Amino acid sequence: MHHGQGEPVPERYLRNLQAISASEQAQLRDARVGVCGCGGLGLYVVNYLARLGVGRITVWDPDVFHESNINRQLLASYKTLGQKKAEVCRQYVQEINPEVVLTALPCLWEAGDPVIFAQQQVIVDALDSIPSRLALAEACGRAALPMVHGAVGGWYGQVTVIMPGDKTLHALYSNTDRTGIEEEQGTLSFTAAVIAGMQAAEVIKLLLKRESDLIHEIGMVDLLDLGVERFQKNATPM
Amino acid sequence: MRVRVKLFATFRKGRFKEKEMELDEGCTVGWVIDCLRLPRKELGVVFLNGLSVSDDQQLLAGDTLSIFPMVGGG
Repeated sequence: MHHGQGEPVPERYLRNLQAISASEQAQLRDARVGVCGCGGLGLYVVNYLARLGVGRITVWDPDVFHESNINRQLLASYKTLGQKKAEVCRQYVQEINPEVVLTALPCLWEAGDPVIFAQQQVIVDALDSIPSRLALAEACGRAALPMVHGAVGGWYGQVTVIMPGDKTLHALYSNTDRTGIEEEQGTLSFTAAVIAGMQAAEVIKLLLKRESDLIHEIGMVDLLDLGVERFQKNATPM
Repeated sequence: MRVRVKLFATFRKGRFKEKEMELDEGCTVGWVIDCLRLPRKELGVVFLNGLSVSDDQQLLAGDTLSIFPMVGGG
């Protein structure tokens, strides 16, 4: 089960090579990632991270599966209706990669143990509430943790990496009284999967200390007109 | 003065993707938003020449304004 420097890479990771080197694969095994929200984005992010071999994943979500989640949320099915999302996620991850230690916290990240939060190396913002996203960015800043932000609505999404001190999320959500287009447009399955995939890629880059343009840029994704617009973050935040 | 205005996502519906607009000198970002009847409650980030700006930012000839609706779902 265990593999380290110089040990052979387990067979389930063979198709990660050479995109991820054997020594990087060993780094991922020891990595700790926190995912806030087990909805459209979060469940895909956890799925990708577990298959990649990220060794310790903590998820926060107080919710249970509802029928209206089935259109987009990876583990939502008629079998899991009414079950806690965090716990279903833990069972799923155990089946696909028993080496991963997944800590399922069926509560809001705000209500969880701050010590567990601070133990993470990277936090994923997979939330669906704008005030909670802004509070998460603040908490990550205080804990000196990088945060990978993703948001979706209809055919559209956005993704960026928030390093401590970066106030970009406040520019994206300058008025918390406003509602996102998802209120009217809903969220489509493939939009959630695309943005979650981009978030997972950014998590891996952060863990492996690879360069990422999204530390300095915001990526806006349009799956209807097929475009990815990239904008530089402001040097002096608004 | 001429300013290039780019709309994104749902803001394109019934409007345009990209257009050169003839504006008065001293015109602000907020004036363009209201002129295009973009719903304020859905307004997200606005980039002027690639940098995010607030509504009261004045525009200059040759500027490119990119206007996004707010996207917050998860």
